[in-house]
Amino acid sequence: MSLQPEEIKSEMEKALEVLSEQSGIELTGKIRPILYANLDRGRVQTFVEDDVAHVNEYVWRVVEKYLRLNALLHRLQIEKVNNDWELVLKQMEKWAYRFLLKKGYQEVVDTWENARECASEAASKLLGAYFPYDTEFEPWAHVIVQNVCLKYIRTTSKDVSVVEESYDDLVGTLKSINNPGLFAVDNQNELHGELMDAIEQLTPLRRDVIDMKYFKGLSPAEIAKKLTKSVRAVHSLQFHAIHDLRKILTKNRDKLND
Amino acid sequence: MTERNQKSHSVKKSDAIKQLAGDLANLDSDIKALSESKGDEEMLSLIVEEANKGIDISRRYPTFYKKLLNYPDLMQAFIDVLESFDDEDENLPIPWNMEASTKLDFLSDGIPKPVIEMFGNNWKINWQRTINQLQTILSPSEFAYRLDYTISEDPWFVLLRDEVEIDGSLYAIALECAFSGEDKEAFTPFLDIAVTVGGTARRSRFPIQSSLQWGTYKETIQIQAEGRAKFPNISLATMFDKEYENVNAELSLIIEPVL
Repeated sequence: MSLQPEEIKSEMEKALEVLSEQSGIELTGKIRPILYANLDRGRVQTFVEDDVAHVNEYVWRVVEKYLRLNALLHRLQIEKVNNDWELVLKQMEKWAYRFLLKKGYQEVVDTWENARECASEAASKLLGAYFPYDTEFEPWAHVIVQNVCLKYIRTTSKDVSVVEESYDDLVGTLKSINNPGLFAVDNQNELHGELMDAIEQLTPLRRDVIDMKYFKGLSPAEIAKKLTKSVRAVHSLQFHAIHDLRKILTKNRDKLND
Repeated sequence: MTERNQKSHSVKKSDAIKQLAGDLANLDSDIKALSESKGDEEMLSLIVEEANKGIDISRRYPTFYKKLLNYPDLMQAFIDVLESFDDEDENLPIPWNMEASTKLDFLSDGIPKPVIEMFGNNWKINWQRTINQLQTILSPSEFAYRLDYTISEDPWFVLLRDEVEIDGSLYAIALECAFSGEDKEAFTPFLDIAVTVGGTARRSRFPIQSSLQWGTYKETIQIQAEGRAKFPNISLATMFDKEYENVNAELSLIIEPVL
């Protein structure tokens, strides 16, 4: 049964009581609205994953990040300090440029100018956006930049195909599936042989990731070390591998049914 | 027999198969239920940070992981952010970057400061937002097509955020709204208040009351202590035209101590 917001609130208040004893009511007064706003947004629920023990961890995570990042956020969003904004905006321009290149845009001055426009729009959003203090500044700002770039790509008809191509495999996989019970865990005995065959059909790198994650029980960090890849690349490989497996299994079963 | 079948695994094979089959099954389960869930843009930043730290998100965040598996857009966004951090380690020459000066025009947003009225020991703060300012925040043309929103879109709108010093105390105020859970044609506004009491200040003045007026909507709530308070829902028809394309009413927020 999933944790109810009231249970989470009760645990949050217990942690806030400890915070109040340790650091005073003023800090507690600043943390409380952040926690409740994050609860309304579903962030607390995402973090705690129905484990009430994680609520306390979440509260202290927010406290630590608030103490470390609030000054920066204040300078950016309330004081609007030019020097800080210049640094942040320059970084956002680079993020936007890299993102557009990745989505098939060419390394030309026009792309750079478009990236700057996107970064500027993202900066404007960031200025008024809510910072939840349960994440670092960089990934938060990065997601904002990325979303603005995606919107830009989608509204420029020429490049719609670029994005659609990149999603094609995944969307195609999902759309091709019309039997939700096909891979149900209940069928695991039958699935065993098919899965092993399908794994063999993966590309070597994706096969290695599946092998290490599921059969050797390694963490993403351990897999990354073994493959001399970044943890981020391991997550990416893992997702692609699962979708490939799904596709292979669906194809094989379709063949059998024919 | 392949090497994979022969080797002695640290995870029992049946468990590995079960977990993998479970992830495969998750690809299409609960899609309908999950499609109701919007606003994962913000979650992405949290999950990306965790993934960067090497945390196995499939185990630590299974619910979100299931969403990633089910939503190509969300998954692609997740992978893009992760990979972009990797890209940063590579040196990408941007020849035009050297001559470009940053444009900080957006900092002069023209948003008016609140009006503070003092009378005796009492005070009243009044914020105004014009139709144009609200239009920019809400991008209402997207409302008409909001069913086409990608899952990573943020459904929360920060209408106002400010800090005001009165009687030596600093009041940090934020007014934000989101689509109401119960009524898709309505917003729920939330007001956050945090107070820093300065050295020379008298105590902060709770209870306070706050009045929100937006078109024909006018509600007043009492707030007993700093924290987060909710206004009654506000119908979209109150502040938008019939097509939900244009904001047609200004907003006013007043905060004052309860006398």
